[in-house]
Amino acid sequence: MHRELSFYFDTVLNFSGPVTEHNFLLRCIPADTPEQKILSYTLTVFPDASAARIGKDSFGNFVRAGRVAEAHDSFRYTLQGMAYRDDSLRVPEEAAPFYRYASPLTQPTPELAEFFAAQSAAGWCAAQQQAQQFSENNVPALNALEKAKILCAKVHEHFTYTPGETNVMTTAGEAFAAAKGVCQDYAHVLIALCRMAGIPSRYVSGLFTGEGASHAWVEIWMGGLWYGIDPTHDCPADEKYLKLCVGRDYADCPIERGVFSGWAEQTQNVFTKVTD
Amino acid sequence: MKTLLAHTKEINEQLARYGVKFGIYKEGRFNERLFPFDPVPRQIPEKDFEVLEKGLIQRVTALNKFIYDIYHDKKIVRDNVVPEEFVYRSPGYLAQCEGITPSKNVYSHISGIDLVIGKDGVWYILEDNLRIPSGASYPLIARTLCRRCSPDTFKRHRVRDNRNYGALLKRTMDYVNTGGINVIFTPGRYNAAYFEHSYLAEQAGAVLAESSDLFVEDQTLYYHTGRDPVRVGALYRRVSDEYMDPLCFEPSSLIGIPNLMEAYRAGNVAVINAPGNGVADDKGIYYFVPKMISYYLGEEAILKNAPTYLPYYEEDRKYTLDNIDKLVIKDVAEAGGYGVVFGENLTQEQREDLKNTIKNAPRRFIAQEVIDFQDLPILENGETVERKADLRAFVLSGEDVQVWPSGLTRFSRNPDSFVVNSSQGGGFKDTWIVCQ
Repeated sequence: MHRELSFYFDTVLNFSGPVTEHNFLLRCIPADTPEQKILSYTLTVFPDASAARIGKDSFGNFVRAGRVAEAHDSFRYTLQGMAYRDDSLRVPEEAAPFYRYASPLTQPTPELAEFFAAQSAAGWCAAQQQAQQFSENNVPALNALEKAKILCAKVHEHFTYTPGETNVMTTAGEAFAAAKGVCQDYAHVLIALCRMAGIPSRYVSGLFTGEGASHAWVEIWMGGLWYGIDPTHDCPADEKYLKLCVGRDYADCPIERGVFSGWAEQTQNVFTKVTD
Repeated sequence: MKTLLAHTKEINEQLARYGVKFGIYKEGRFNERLFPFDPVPRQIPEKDFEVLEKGLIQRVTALNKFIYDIYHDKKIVRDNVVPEEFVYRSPGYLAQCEGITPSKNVYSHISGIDLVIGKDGVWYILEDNLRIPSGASYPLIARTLCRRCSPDTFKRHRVRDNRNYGALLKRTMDYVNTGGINVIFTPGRYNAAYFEHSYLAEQAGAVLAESSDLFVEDQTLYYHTGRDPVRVGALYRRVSDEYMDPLCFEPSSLIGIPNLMEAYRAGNVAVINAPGNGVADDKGIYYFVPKMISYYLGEEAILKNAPTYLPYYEEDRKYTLDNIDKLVIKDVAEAGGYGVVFGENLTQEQREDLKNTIKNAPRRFIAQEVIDFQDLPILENGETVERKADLRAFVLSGEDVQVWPSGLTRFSRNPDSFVVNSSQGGGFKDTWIVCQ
């Protein structure tokens, strides 16, 4: 169902001392696609860094690079705008072949392979049998989206949502073994499993309706279209979700990445608000 | 020649003074080692070199087209000439480079192609090095020193002058330069090839810089001069892909230039060699190079690959497993002479282990016939002994593709070893292209 989303995304980095030569790369400008039309947006960066030229990376994400050479002890970027979401407006596209192969953070491990084998055999079978009960004809084999949904439910069941146990470098295999993590870990594990099933899949960073922090979910590709699924909530990522950027895994598309000179501890405050 | 040989000690002392050293990391420690020079040159008759030249130009031309294709239309994959997984599972394939077109469409500006000559007199390609091949500076400085010690040798022998390498490099950099100065970007003093970085900068008239000397602003790369920053138009970076830009690749890299990839992507700087080239010099992709030559150029490959089997293909796997004791098995993910195993050197148990590993992960390996290559004479304690040697030919791609009329001849000092890599303790020779 179509929605008009109003979004606000504010991040403040505070440094315990002055830092210099701060280079950053932002991927917070939302994707502008037929199913997610960006009606308007503003992005402000403080301290304001040089000319703001918006580029696109190899995954099609908008990127805003910059450099603050002078000493500063905080850095803030604020995004706000309006988007029109309607998934019925998606247009078919090809999935880049690299979305079918394990990426650095989604490498298979023996545990993941075992889990995949068990879940796919049992889960797909059960779903098939259930469908068969209500039909006299032979039920067709499960399609990619149906398989992904089964895997999504299993991932959701496997994990206990636990902030602070994992970090941005945690791999799918590590998070899976710990069975604890946050949205990023759920997404990585689901991506690893989908790719084992031969389903092209990608990592999505974005926002969703309500207040809080940024979110991550998964898109799988079937018959020319990308379908959003959210393993953290075990539900489709529908028009309540606003996509910022995509990649093979988190490392391809962090919303913000930066390096600076100076011995300083960094703390981060993020506030997001999306309403329809 | 006698005068030249009599100066072995002096030349090596001079090389040491110039800092011609090879640094290696072993067990977490950085050690510097002299790179021993053997004054007996490898001589290649000019007419043989002409064949090599044609073959190398052909090969590098096809490899450049392949890299472009992989990061754009992927026709060679769609047409099933190269299986998709050899591309996308290659550690050298970088999705972050998809869709980027480098200045003048050149990817492999400096290619180091390793060859050996068999007892049958045929040259075989051992591997392609398209990332940041090192080594040209060694024969370059050695030649200069040899000429100084023994000028007469070079009057008596008609040897093609190789001292134009700096000029060739400059020409290559100038051709792709997008406006600005030429810079050689080194990770610094503790890099294995630091001598080379500084020497080539001097020879090519480029500025030698480390990461703290360079920055990116507004998608443009600049060099700090202390006064107004100067724009950089061509960056010959001797930092590997993964450490080149901490905002695009390995985030913990302290030797990279943040947002270099943004400047490169925008077409505002030429990066030499292009990031992502590793997809084409992967040991698994090597097998397909002759196929690339016919696919892109419609020609037969002039230079031969060593006979290679891909356990990925069932037929080749069977051959590999049946003949493992006479083959050399290479792990496609390793480089620098690591991950190379000669079947005949294994115990029965190790052989079975390797066979199982190959069965479980066939794509990880290639198998090659052991080439019976010509030994070269070297001087050891005043005596001439025969040792295994290879040749790294340097091919420079700019407006045209040119082969440097020389090359780095590396030899194994261990009489039983086929591995000549400098990181494995070998020495080097000058390579003469001799006019008849």
